[in-house]
Amino acid sequence: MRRLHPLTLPLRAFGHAVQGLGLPIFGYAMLSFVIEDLPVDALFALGGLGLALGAGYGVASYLRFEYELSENAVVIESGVLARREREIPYGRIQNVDTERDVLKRLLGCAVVRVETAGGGSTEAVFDFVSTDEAERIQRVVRERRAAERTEETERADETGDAATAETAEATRSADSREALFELSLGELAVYAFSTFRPGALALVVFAVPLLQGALSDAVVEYLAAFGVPTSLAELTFERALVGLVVAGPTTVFGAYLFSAVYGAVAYYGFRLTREGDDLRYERGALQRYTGSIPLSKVQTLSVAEPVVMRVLGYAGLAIETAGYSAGGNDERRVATGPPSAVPAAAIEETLALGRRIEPFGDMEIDVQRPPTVARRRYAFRYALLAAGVLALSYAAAWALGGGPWYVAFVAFLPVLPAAHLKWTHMGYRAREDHLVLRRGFWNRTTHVVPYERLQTVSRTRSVFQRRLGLATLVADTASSATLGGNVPAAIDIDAEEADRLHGLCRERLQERLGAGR
Amino acid sequence: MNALHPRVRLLWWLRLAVSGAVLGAVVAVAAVVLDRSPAFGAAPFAAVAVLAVPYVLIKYRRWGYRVEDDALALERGVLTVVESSVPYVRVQHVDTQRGPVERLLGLSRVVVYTAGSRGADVSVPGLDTERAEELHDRLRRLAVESEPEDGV
Repeated sequence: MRRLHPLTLPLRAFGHAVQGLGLPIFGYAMLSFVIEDLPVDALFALGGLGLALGAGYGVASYLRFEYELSENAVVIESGVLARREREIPYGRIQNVDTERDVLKRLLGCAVVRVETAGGGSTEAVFDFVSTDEAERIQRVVRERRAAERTEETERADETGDAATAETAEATRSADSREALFELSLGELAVYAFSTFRPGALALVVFAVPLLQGALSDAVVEYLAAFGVPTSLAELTFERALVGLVVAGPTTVFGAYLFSAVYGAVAYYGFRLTREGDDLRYERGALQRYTGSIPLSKVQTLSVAEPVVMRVLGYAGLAIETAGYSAGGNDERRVATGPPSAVPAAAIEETLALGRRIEPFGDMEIDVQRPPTVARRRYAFRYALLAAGVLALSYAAAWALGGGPWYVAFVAFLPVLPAAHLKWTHMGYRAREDHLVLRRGFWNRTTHVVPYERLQTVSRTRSVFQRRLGLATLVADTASSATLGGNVPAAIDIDAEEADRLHGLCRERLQERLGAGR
Repeated sequence: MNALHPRVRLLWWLRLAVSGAVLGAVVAVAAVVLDRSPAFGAAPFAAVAVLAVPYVLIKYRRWGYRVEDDALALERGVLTVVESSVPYVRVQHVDTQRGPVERLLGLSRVVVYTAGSRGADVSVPGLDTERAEELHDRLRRLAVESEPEDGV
């Protein structure tokens, strides 16, 4: 059995000691509101006790965490008071990721995470081990998994019903290594400026008022120069309007810049390599991430073409497995944005790489758009939204003592173009081996779902869809996070067509699985 | 499509009535705080209890399941109608669940788990004990026969 990196010991002891100290101080502060003249000695005594207990717990948690890469499984024994023994068979492991922040890079250490398809959280976390050990864990998992697959196919060969494709995949040497993609600076810039993280907006909106002093004053002065009121008393409808027109775009633009910087830092030095049956990526300027994506467990490919990339003829590619999407679990996804195998590259290059992973043919699927009644539906939906804006404007004018509330009629201008654009960028096609589904104007995403990966297939029809003879076909796979957070679906297609597709998906799934063994 | 046991309508109605009662209680408390009669709480409760009747009837009429060759087919939904199929190859495991009220009414619910990301657990409510057992056994057998690799 092995232990974590020795430096874990002092760091954990320190971290837990600080927590142990904090609790009595917090308690003391709370109590001092209620009881006057609390003895200060008690604080020192309890604080000291907390410090010692915390440090002791930190040391124990280091000593009581042991692991081993055995013949068949990753074995972990952990827990200070409640002991837990965990065995993760190599064949079940989906991804092995590492994360190194600046401190760990200086120390030559890394945090390793092992993901399987089950459960919502990461299956095993090694926080932290040396870089060499991290690489050893990744390598051992990859090799043992490949070996298991080869044995499996050999057994299948003996019974004479092996899938030729799988044999070829598994017998591919586990050691072979090949560089697939390296992100150039130009591509990094395209990626950074085309992928908008909504989180950045929240950050700007909440952070700017919190910034005290010079910056905040500068912002107020800047806004005041446009006639934006600095206090509520001077607020009139016209001034609020100017404020909205100035501050709105400024905020969005600031968030956009912030998001771009974040994206550039997170994906700097991105590199994708193939190692045996796995893809492996590396990225990050400050915090360095690596991750492995087993090719045998690919659930869905997603081609991302945000507006900026479409204009420039670029595209990104994400590979989803059942562990989570390559790039991080949900909380890390919020920080790092959509997961990528190729953050951004010329569209032909991206598609060529995608086809090597899953041969899905060409991408010309625009032909099968939803019926035009769907477009009418979106126009109606957006018109309702515009009417809401108008109502708000009227209410604001009333509350602020009158004003040209009718300017809000401009909200109706983009209704028809928006409905049309939404509609044009939707499409679906049932190919020989894949279901291809596309949607989204700002972040157009095309999901390529192999039939043999389908789980539950559903046809849903809301009240409105039933009236218009439309339906939505949801093609669920086991990928725990899909690009854009959406389950692949063909939205608002003809109801009968959806029914036909539903049947086709079921049929193909059975065929593929039947042919596969 | 197989229909559910008719008694499930009572179960669904009771559930909605309970939420209606909670809503009514909240309104009643608010009314007392505002110096009004607590009887105001009766209105939301009555509204929910009455509206729940057609809702439950439609829900019952819509609900259906069928054990087909390759998949369990389900149809359900009042406002949004959902027709889904759960292939047996994808079934991870099958549960039979009985809540306290369900036990009183002699009903069971069969829950089918898959590895999918959405609707990963599909449940067939309102089955009497015998049919629940039968469905459970049948699904388990079909899931084993279809031999999933690791269900993903």
